Amino acid sequence: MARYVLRRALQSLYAVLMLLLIVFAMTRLTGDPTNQYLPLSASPQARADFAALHGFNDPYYVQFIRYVSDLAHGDFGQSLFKQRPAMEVALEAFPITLTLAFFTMSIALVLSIVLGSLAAMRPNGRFDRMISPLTIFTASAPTFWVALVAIFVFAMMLGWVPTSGMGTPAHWILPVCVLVLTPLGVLTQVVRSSMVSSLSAPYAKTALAKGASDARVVFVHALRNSLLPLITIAGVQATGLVNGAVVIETIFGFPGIGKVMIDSIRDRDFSLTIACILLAAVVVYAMNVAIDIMYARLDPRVQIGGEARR
Amino acid sequence: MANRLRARRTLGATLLASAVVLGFGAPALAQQNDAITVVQEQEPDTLDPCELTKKNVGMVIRENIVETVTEINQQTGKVDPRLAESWSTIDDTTWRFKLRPGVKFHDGKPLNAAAFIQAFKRMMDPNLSCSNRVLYFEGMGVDLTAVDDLTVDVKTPQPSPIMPVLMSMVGIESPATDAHALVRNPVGTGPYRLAEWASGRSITTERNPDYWGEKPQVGKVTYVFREEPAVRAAMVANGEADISPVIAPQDATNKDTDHSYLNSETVRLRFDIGKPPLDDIRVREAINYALDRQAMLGTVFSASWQPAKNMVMPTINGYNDAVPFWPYDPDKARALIAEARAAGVPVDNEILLIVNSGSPGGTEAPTVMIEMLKDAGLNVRLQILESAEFYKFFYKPFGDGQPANILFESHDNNSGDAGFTLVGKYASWGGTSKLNDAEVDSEIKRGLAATDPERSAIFRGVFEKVHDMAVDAVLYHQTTDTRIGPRITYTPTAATNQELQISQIKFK
Amino acid sequence: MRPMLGRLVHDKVALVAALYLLAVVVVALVAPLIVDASLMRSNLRLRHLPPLHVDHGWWYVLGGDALGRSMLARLVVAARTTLAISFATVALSLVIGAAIGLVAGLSNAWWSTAIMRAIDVLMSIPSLLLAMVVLFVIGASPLVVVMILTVTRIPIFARTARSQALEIRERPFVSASRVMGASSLHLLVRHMAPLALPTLFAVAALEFAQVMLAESTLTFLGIGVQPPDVTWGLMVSDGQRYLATAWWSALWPGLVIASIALAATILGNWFQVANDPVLRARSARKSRAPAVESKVASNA
Repeated sequence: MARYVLRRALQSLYAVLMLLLIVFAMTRLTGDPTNQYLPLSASPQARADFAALHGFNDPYYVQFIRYVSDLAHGDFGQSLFKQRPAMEVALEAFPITLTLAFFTMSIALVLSIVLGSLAAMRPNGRFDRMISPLTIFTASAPTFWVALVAIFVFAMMLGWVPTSGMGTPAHWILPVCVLVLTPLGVLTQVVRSSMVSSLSAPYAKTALAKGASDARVVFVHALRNSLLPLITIAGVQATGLVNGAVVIETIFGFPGIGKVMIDSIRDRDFSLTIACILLAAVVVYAMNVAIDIMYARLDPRVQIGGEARR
Repeated sequence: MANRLRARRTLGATLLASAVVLGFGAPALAQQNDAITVVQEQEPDTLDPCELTKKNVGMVIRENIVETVTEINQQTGKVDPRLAESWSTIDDTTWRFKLRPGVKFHDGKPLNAAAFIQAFKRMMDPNLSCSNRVLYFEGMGVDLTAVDDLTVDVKTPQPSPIMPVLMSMVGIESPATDAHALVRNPVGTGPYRLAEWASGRSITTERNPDYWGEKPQVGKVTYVFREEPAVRAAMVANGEADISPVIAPQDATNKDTDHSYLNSETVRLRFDIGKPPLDDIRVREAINYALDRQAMLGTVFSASWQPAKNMVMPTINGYNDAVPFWPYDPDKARALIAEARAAGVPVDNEILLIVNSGSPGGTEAPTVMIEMLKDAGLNVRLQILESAEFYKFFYKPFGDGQPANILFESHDNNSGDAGFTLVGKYASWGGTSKLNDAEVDSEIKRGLAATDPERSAIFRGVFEKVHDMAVDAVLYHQTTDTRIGPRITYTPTAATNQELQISQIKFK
Repeated sequence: MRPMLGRLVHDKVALVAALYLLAVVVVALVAPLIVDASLMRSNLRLRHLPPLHVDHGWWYVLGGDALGRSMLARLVVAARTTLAISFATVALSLVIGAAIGLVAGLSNAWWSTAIMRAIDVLMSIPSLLLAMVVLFVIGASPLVVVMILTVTRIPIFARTARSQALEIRERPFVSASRVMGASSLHLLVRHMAPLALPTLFAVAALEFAQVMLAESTLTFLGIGVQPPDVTWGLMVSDGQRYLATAWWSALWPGLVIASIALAATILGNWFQVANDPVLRARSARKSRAPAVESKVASNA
């Protein structure tokens, strides 16, 4: 196990370095921040001076070497716009996003397992016909729309919660509830469809033949197998959340990393963009390793790590 | 397995329940008596005084924490004293400013000539890229001398008739301010001082007990940031904020709390005057006749916008009221295009209408405008662009091989003088100007060197000339909608776009 | 084929879903014939006309949009572009992603891990950045839209397919097949892909909706559909400003998108049950229709 983790860690490190190279090149391809930073009426001379001051006119490989050597000293560069170290800005914003992601995924996982397995017990039965459309609808509804309607109904009309902001736990209720809807919808359907599929596997028929009641078959055997696709897709959803739920962060005024990342891309604030992406990537890759380890734990037949069983 | 599942569910439910219970104990609505909450569009990236001409920065610090040397009176358009009590010209190229006595910075240091000069030099430092300098003092070569403790001579190589106006863009901070980097804790002379900056969440300022001027009513201000306009409007309506200086026009539906004010921005369609068919004056005039400016107000543009004749506000020195509005005459537009076509002008060439995503009027206004232009017989296609791509069309140098285009742009001039506009928009060396006319250039140069009343007269002449040449289609003076909660009274001015003087806010 | 159609007719809900999807496709195809060009011109007097005001003609039953155009007409015209883009994107990313994931999951070679790490890297690149770079390098051609959307969606299907493959390859029938000399390709195509499909389709149906909504962000970058051309996603984002005042502007296109995702999911779920004799038996066991029972008996 430890060897596997170490091997994956090294692979992930390699992936991070590739990511760095790719993103560096990509950001440089989008231009430079001179026109975003300087006011509209700045003269061409002012623009040229600014670009020279920050080295945007140097060839890409020169800029890259400079960046990497700074990186080797732990210096992720200065955010041009925020006039602060880029990693400091990113580290300030990241915990907020992680907290949102954690609460959202916890609730979504629990609820989707419950709802999905109940629906799978009687495919096209009454419960299924009720839950499936509801979760699909909420999953495909535009987040922006749902968030604003939620604010309007629950904060303005009913006055149960504040409209936006972060101050108290009550402030987190609306954003988390709105964020939960998409993963909940997707994961419920995933659980449902893979459990329905598992029920046709031989072991299900064996269990039925042995006389176990419906409920035990569903929860003990089929659920276990459905956890594999569940945690995979949950991982994909979580990745999206860790990269920042920009719409929710913007509407509710949560200074999370999604908003910081998007703004930095628009502004061409390269150091900040890269710092945000790297930070999120580290967490995501660690999560993927954890998911792979869970595969092996959940289904003893699954072999990860390239040692085929014969 | 089922037991574990049940346990997890119970734990989750308990956590959620306790979160809800705890949360309800903290009302967001309770306020101290003299504290207010202001909800802004965006958090400023810095609070450095040398960036106070940047909108997000100025809204928090300008005339609140950091004061400027002079101030433009929005009602009269004249320059009022602020940190400088009086000023006069010593000779052609030198202005003498007398500073107000008895003023102290928040850190106790006195405001004097030395502090003034140091703050000014800091602003001019090329390594800091201060927007105050880039916007107003670029390439100026200002020379400062302290005549005595409270008097400073400001000398420039060329005569600078509008130096008092320019000084309204200069914020003075304490000499102890870091000279090599932008600061997040500005130390100025203003009626408020910075109490806390919770990055990403809020900025709090408190009343300065040692302020030299009148004591303001508001004791404490909390600035919060919500990018979504509907949420800002909701916060004021809900009592979570006392004022939102900017809300969206479609949310400004409550007559009791919502007010609109002219914000010194003007929009126009800029013609690519060097490229056919826009190089033909008939085509340009036709575009102006084809646009139904009235119909667009209250529909695709805010109803409170006002049709414009010049690219500057009526209060700006140089505004020419005698310039007529272009009437809506679709028949005349069609006739002009037909005439141009007969004369061999390639009116069927495709023209791009370039719009920056996020412009006022969104995608609706350009769509309607294109329909109007198509009715006249032109071939126009919409192209939305985000900032960097937009700038390639907006600023010089314009790329080679760019197609003929009309560009929808918004211009802001609240400096009190039309010079900035005329240079930027109509001079051949202007950064966003497509015009290359020798006569216009020489007139603008003449005006820049002149003082009033000659200056205004020359500028008026230029506005008349560019109108006659149909250089562009000047559209509207923009307004901003603001929502003001029931606890306070405040009258927005054209400057509310970039500063919110808390001392002007009173409680009911 | 005939038995399948018979089963479809018998399952009322799935039938409705199938007919709905068919209707949408037909409408998309005949749109130019039924929508008159005048309905697409702005009519500022009818700006934000509330729904159910039929005194302006049946076309305005869903109300008018921000420029006074018939919402219904806009929805019909948008169908074609939206469906084309979304279908192409989901189909491509499903096929490519599933292929990558299944191959990577089946094999233990070093390159299969390398592929998954590459997918990891792809997931970490923000789609906005990708879109802006493509815009800069290639320009704003129509195919670029599908390309960008596909690339950002591939990791979802790849990771899902891989997890399916990891589980399926350990099943006894796989080793049995190998013993009998089946090649990896044969295993992949004949056995593993069909087993992985139900979950992949469930994801795809919902991805359909996400893609329709994501497309509008590309418009604001200047890529792809530019007004007055329209897609449902664009109608949603245009209407979002007016949620408080003209709520129908965003509601109808949003409902259309969600309902298509719903119909696709229902059909996918039905297909999963209908295609598998054991599952058919399970769900039929609860039904009281003797006709179905005998069909099951004869097919068992």
